[in-house]
Amino acid sequence: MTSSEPRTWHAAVLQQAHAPESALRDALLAGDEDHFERFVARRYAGMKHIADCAADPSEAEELVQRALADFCAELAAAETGQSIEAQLFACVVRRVRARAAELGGSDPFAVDEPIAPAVASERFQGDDHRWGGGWVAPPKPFALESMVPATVAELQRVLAAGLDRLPPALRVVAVLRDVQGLSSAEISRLLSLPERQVRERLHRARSRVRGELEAHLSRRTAQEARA
Amino acid sequence: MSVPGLTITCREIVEVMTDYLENKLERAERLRFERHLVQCPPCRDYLGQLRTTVDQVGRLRAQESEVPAQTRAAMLDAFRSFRRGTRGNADD
Repeated sequence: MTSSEPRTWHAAVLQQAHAPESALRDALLAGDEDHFERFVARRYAGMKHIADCAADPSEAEELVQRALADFCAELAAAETGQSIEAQLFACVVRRVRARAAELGGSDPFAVDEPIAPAVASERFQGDDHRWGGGWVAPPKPFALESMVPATVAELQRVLAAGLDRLPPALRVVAVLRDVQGLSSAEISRLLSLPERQVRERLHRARSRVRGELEAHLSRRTAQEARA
Repeated sequence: MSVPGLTITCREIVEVMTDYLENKLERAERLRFERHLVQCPPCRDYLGQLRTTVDQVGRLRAQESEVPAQTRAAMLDAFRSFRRGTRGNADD
């Protein structure tokens, strides 16, 4: 195992996300509606996940509409140095923040809870134990490759719901990095956060979503055993 | 399970897994991390779980959503305005 080992499918998605950047930008600048509709359709769920972070989630759809209008207005602007993906999501983040400011609230993407460990402490031996810090309740492989497509689709719904349950500060990073494939540097710039903080939030988000997936699969296995 | 002689415990290693996946560990930390994984099947399984989670979350991107009708109409209006603006400029 090496540290440069690619993250398999995720790495491929990131490659696909950035490979046709110039072709996509050219198509949008040329006014190609079909490209624009597909571009938005593939990113709509991500935009909605982030817009749902608004103080009043019932305003999320309107915030998405305004962000799309902002994005179109900025299309003709000079090269921003951002990927077209980052440009779009920067518009969503700005709209959510602006709306919070209008309502006199604080930044919805600020962290407002104490940092919890990635895995509950009771799953490890205490420090006074001979194997202090070692697993008491070790994890098991998810083994999705042995599951039927319907189960994998169910897990996708569990993951989407897990993303929605994340607090906004973690959700925005998880959506931008792991769903939309933006780089840590782009996210850092978009959210005005140091990259180290972006990674820390990403770590917490991934840990929580992993935990939810693990819990779901455990319940499923228990139900199947009883059946 | 933690093994005598390793300098990072399982409880510690799960906290740096994202740094590892993002290739942000310093060389010495990365070597210590990988040495631990070689000797610790549960931590390898945990890393596998995290990778699977990231991969599956990434697949949400591939799904094209149905944009609500009102949003679709508004976004096409905005796009057509942009297009009229650039074509107007091109005609100048």
